[in-house]
Amino acid sequence: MAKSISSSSQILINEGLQPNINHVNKEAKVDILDEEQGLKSGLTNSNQRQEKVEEVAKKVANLIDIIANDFGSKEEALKVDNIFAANQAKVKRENSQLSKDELKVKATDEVYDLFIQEEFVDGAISAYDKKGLDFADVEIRSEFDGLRKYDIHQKD
Amino acid sequence: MGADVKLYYDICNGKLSKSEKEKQKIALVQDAYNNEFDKIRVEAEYAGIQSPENLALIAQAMNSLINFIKVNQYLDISDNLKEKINSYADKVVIREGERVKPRDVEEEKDYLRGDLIEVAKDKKVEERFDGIRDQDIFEVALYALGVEKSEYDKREDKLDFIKVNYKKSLKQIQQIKDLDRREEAKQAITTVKSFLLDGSEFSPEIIKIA
Repeated sequence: MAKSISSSSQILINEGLQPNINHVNKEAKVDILDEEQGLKSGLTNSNQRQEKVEEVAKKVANLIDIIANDFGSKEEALKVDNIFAANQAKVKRENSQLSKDELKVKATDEVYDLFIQEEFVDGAISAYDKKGLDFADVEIRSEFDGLRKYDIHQKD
Repeated sequence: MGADVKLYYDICNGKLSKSEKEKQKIALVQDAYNNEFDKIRVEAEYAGIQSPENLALIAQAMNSLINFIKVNQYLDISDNLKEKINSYADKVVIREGERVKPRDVEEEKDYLRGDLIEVAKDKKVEERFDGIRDQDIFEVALYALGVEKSEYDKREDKLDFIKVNYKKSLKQIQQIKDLDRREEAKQAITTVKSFLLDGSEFSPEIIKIA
């Protein structure tokens, strides 16, 4: 990034002299630091968000795999009820000591916690896309059948 | 829509056969929604954005509403029909009226996520009602509505039973003279209702009102 210098320093440089860096406007220095800090934190936030999107995508991809395996077709992942069912299967594998009811509750909570994440839709779009599916086709409620699809893809 | 809902209650209380009653209810809902449809059409015309496409989208929304009512068997639930019609009508009109009021991709994503969260909350409510989730808090919430757990367990129409008792509680709250206390009680009972019927999480207010 190009650093700004004071007009007096520019005059000294133009005249072949070395400017005293102490002459550099202190406020300008602070501005530069703030700007750099802002860009850094902006990048950090963006990276953190991307990491979360990838984390969600991984979880969703895992559920699609379970659905494809248990239901015989990856297209079954386009039904929300099957996402809940797949997560139940996953929880059952991970927590064999839990009762049937406890498994169901835990699995629902996990899916709920996944859905409420701000990055969920982006992660799901990515995971479905990698499996050759479009998350916009997901069937949420039977009464929504026949309505237009969610317009969730960025236009070029 | 108020008059339509009154008519709906009249039909419910009238002496009609089940199938006649259902037909009339569907016709009534269709009329009610047609009224909304007309209003939107006039607004769109006024704003200069009316188009056959918009109207087709809204008409499709209306059909979906009818489908929604059939699917959910709201034909036999009179208590919250108006609320359900309005909330669902809002939802489909917002969703289908995209061309009337365009939304961007991020809004669409939020909308999709909101619908998914609603489904997950419905599952939580089912699990509470099935007796496999939050049973201690559930009992306290029932108590806040003036319902004993043993009484609740005996009922077959559990969902309706809770809705009726929620409405009774609201009426009782209206009789509280102290405005601050009335407001506090209203907020608390709303929290109880959200916990029981909307799948929301436990809140300390439930204990407070109980």
